[in-house]
Amino acid sequence: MLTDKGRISEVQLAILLLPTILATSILSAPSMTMHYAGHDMWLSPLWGSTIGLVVIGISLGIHRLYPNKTIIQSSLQILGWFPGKLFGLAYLFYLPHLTGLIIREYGEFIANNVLPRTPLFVVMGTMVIVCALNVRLGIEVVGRTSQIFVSIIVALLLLTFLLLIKELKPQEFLPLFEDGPLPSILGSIPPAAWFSEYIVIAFLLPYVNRKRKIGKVMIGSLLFTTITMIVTNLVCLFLIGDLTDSFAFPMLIAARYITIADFLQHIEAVIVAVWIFGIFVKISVFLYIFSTTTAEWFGLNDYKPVVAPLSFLCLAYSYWVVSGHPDIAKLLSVSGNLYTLMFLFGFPVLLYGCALMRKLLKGGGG
Amino acid sequence: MEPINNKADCKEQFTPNLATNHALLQEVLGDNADIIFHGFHTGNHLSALCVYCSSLCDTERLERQLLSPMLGDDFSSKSDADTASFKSEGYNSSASNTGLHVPMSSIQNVCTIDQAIHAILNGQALLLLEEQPIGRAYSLPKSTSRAVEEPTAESTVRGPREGFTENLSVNLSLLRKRMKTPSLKLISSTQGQYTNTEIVLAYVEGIIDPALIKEVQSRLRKLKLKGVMESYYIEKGIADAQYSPFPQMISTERPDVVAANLLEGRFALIIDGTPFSLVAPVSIFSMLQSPEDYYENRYMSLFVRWLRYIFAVISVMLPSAYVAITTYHQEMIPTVLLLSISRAREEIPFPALVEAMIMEIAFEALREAGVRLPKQVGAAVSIVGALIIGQAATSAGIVSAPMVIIVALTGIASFMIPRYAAGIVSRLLRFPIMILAGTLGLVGMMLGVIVIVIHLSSLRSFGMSYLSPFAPASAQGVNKVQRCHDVEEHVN
Repeated sequence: MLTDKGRISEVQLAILLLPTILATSILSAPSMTMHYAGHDMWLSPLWGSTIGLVVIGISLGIHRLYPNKTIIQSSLQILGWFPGKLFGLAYLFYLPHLTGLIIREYGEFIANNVLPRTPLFVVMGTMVIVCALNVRLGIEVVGRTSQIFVSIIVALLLLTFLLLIKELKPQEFLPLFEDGPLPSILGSIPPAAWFSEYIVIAFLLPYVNRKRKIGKVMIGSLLFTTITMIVTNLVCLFLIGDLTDSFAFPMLIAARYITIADFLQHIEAVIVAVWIFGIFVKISVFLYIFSTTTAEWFGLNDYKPVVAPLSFLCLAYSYWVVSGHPDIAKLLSVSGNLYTLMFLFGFPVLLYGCALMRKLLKGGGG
Repeated sequence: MEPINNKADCKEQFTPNLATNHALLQEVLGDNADIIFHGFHTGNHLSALCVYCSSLCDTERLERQLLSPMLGDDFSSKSDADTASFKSEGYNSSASNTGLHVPMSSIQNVCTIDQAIHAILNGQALLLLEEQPIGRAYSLPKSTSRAVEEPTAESTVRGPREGFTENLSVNLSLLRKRMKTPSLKLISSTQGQYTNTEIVLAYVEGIIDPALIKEVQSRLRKLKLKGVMESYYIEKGIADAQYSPFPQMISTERPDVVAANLLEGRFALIIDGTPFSLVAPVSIFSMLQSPEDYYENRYMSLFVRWLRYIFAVISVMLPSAYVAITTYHQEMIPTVLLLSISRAREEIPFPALVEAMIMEIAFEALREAGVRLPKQVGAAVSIVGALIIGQAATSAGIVSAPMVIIVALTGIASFMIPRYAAGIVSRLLRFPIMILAGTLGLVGMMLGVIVIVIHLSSLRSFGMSYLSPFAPASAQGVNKVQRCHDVEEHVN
């Protein structure tokens, strides 16, 4: 039994996933990847995307075995009531952590770049209110708003890349594989953490009304995010070169190079403004998942009453997860990424393993 | 049908006794100066009673076509046989028998007091004869409507010049003239406990989704109003989200717009007493559509339509963008422009937000004053507005010249929205976004945009998503909205 009656199409789900992955990864992944991979950073998202592929496969696999159930509901059947509840509880503790972190990232991003003197609470609070409004109206509205905003974001991204072409220096590309392939693989951990966020499919699949082409569409979504991340890394590499890892948000530095006809310049404020759309979709998706998971775990019929208190909780978490900017960097570093991977990749893999075992045993017994 | 009055039992049947019938009607309608009870004897000495509303009936036609044939000697000589026959056969065939001698096309049988009162108040003349428990209502409407004129609120350069009037039958004829097909259905009902306003639901069978018609009819049935003065009374009552500032139905004065929309599978509500008909379900793109988009070269239409989209955004966002950029993001302004703006703003005592608010409120006040005043005085308002606000305030250093330009551009942009009701929304939304832009800069502006998009995404017009065909997306639908010529292709 689902806690939301709305349904979305498979294409809407795919579109919803684009900003869910890209909104924050485009901002901070390049410098983190650069840190480990050096010049081979453009290759890292490709390795990282295998995690995305696996996560999509797991989500679809669990859903095939337990149709029309979210991962939290199917865990009760896979693991049994008590372990299943524990599994759900782990997510109940993890999701506000993740959502709070995303909110904090947004707050720091805005405070660093456009509103340095505005209290962080106001910046994050207004965003959380808006996201809570969106989530309360159900998955259909979340799907539609993401459709509108994704088209704007994609147009902006294309425009940014196009306008930067004349500034790019392709010779930064070399030397290739300076220290062998290992750095690029190590550097794939941060993108992999973002790709593991594809696990939201497992939470949202029951709300999709036509599932015939779902596999193809999800792979398409994954291709899009991978290519975008590779292109972003390439642009950062060609433009800023070795300095990429010294900036928190290298894409924003890149945007400063843009001038249109010597008249429009310094349009990074516009880019920040449009990027708000992407982060809005991302926070909404995670807030939605958190709300529905909570409602499912407690056995409520409707997730709407819990949205407001949970958004407030996420806002509080955004203060608790980190105490300052260095902490954010730590949380987003390898250890933080492994923590993310554990919840978004490790646990679902284990769950799918259990489900397959169960199926095998059942098949053997019957 | 709504009960008209509880004084008498309105479902009561007429009795064969004329005096009793007279008393029953008198009880309900007695205190009205314009209701005439005219008792007389026909040529063959039957007592008869004619009840009509003198303010609605064409009395001259009543005398010429109804009373004089009945009073005349030839009525008696001709109708002796008929009268005898209807006495014997009872009242089933009686109407047609008597009707033969009254040169009139629209005759209705009336059995109950309720029906009789309804007929009289709709301008029909009721004729009751002795010993008959049945009345006959003759339609003799007095024509009081204005002539069909060019619609004032939706003018086009090319396209039909006819607009709806306040008269329902005229409006229906305008529509029927455009759609000569039995598939065009016009379903009548009444609304309003005291006004009993006739509402006609129009749709084309075979094009429209039958479930939609059922939905509309059930919503109309649930609607309980005291009266209907204008189509908005109905719109407000049957709209999906009643607290939304966005119009969820198109109101139009143009029969060609109604006909074109019926062909696209929409329904229309044509309401007596107002020239504005309602069309639904609509999306936000219908609000930015002018009938002329279909009457001009498609490239021109596409260009104008996109121009309208851009200016619709400008009409909501431009003042807030100006406030946000001059207050928070000055680095975005090119140096030369920044210098000229800062020179203009040097003497201004207010922050940009206050300046923008003052100017926008003044502009709205001017516009409102211009609309309400008689036409002759309206010109004076614009002179005063242009001189005082534009010239004097700038030279006195109260508002800056760039701000005046921004407000003027915004005003022009809001005039570009072809549907008046949609234009109102842009005027309303401008203010909260301006405040957000003044407090949080571009971030605040974007938050405002997000809230608007959330609202639009959740809005539905009779089950159709308000942002369709863009969200939920359908390539076919986008093509249709942008092609501008779907009507002719639909017919093909």
